[in-house]
Amino acid sequence: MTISGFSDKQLSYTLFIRAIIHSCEQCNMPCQALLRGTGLFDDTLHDKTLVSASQIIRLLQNTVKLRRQPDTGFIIGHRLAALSHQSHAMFLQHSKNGVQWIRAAQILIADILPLLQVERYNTADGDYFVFSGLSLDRHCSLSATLTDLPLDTHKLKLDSHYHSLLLEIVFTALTALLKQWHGKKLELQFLFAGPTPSNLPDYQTHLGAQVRFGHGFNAIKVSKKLLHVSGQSPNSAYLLTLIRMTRQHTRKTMLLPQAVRTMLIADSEITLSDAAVALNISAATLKRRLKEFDLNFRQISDALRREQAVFLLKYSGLNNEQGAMKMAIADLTNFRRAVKRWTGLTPSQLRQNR
Amino acid sequence: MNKTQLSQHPVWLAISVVVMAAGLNLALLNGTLKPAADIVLLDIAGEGSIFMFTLGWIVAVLASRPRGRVTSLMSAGLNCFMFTMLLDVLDEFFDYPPHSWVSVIESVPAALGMVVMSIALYLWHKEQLALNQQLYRREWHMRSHEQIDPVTQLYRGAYWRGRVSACHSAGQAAGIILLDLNNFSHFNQRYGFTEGNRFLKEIGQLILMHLRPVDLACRYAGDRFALLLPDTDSQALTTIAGQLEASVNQIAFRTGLNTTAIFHSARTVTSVIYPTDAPDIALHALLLQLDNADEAKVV
Repeated sequence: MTISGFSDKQLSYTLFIRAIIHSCEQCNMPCQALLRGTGLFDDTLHDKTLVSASQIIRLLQNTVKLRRQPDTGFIIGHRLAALSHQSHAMFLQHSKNGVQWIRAAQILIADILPLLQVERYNTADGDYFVFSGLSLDRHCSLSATLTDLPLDTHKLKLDSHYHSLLLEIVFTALTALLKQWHGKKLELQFLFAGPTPSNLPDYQTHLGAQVRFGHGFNAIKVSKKLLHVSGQSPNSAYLLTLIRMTRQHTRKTMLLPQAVRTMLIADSEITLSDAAVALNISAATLKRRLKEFDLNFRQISDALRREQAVFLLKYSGLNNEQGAMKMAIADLTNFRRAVKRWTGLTPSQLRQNR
Repeated sequence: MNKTQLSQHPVWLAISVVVMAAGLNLALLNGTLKPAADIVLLDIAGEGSIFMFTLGWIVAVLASRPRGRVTSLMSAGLNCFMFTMLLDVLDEFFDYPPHSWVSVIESVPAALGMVVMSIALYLWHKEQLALNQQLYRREWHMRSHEQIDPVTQLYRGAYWRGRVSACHSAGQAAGIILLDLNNFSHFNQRYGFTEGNRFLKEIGQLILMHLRPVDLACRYAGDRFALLLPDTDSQALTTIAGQLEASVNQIAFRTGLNTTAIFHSARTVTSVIYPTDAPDIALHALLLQLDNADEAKVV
């Protein structure tokens, strides 16, 4: 496993970049200007090209700046689905049922979708897949729905444009792949942290009627029913071979904030210096590297805790003991206080707030 | 389509140049340069900017309008006005002999220009009424060109939602039909988006043909069209929706040089939103219904 900093060219996201470049004509965007300042070149792009997080972000920002049509993200998403269907996502097609499809899709997400991390939470009426990553975490505070935590609104506006573009692309691609597998549109629920956008009709058409906004986090809710639907051409042997091949081919790379987050999921007590030791760098270096992502250790930890507290208590309805155990917190009084600090509500208030 | 219409108007561009040259010559021939001390910079800035803006307006008119009577009158009027403004600016640089005919006639072209412009604006109003007639079924009591979809030349979904709530708050029953092309992403992948866009454009035209002059058709988003038919009962809506589906099924679309036709199917849902309903909830239910409606396989 390689852990990648902001400007390290260690990510292989050729499909994603291609999807954007190939869509520019359909979206009325000037192709040359799209790659300006990204250090990417259309003619030198090949399957093994490695890029950095900063290059992808620059590309997304350029796309936001140059887009002339409100449905740009959705067109790119469809293109991404079509491109990955021809290569990486081929194995999705052979999943037997929803459970298998999701498992295979999670491998795929790590592979074709940059900058995002997915966390799965089980609840009584379905599973939530929460998308987090980069400064997305910072903006997914619950201030919109539950509390009035102070928020840097200017920064939020600036970043939220390319965040929503990224989510439009990713969610559309997943919806399209799911439809391709099953043959019919399947009902998914999409929850967005941001406010209702002006191009709501695009969301409703490309993703489905079940889109909700102002939720404090970005997630796809999958109903229990979907787990049991079946595909058109199940073939377990083929599926396994393809997954094994894909795993061998793709480099295992993780962005630094994601690595920190993963450590925090395993142990809630971990501190900045512990994380630095685990990563074999000094605490000051870790701080500086995170700052390149426009994040600090505390923000990553708080965003994760907030997300966990809300999902475990509000949606899964766990009691304090279960919640504390899942979040790797030993002491119960501390747990109540901590939940209040992260979400602005006590555990019992959160549970009532369903 | 060209981005500007300037190439359509070589004559008018030439006339503007001639007008400016004439003004300059008139001043040079009849006047003498003022001493530098007498030149007031503020006046030059003020009158100079009026002249520059008038010139800008002439270019704007010629750039955005096709040839015709209204355009000719507008540029004629503006040219007259510009002539006076130019002489006004040059006044600041030149002294004319007392009782020179230049300063006497200076203001006449502007007055003439104003009259011509007024006639042009009246005709423009009539032209606009005629254009509104052309736009019926595409536009409803509100213009916002940023919301027009370039592919189908219909308004986008956000505009349509706005019209639905306007219709609702005006106390009218709003008949709604949503039409979705089945498996359109297949179509795009197979024949390319250029052909896909052409198909969408044709479907847009087809839908317009089914509507009454009081109705509105929009491209909701992607492969989905939204219609708004005021004061229509649900039975009539179902009939129209059925006819629309049948028409789409009948379209024999041909791509490139192929003679083999492609047939495509569509599905529709209908609903009437009464003034007592909540439009957002009704619309959401309708969209859900459309999502769950079975998509037939593409042939």
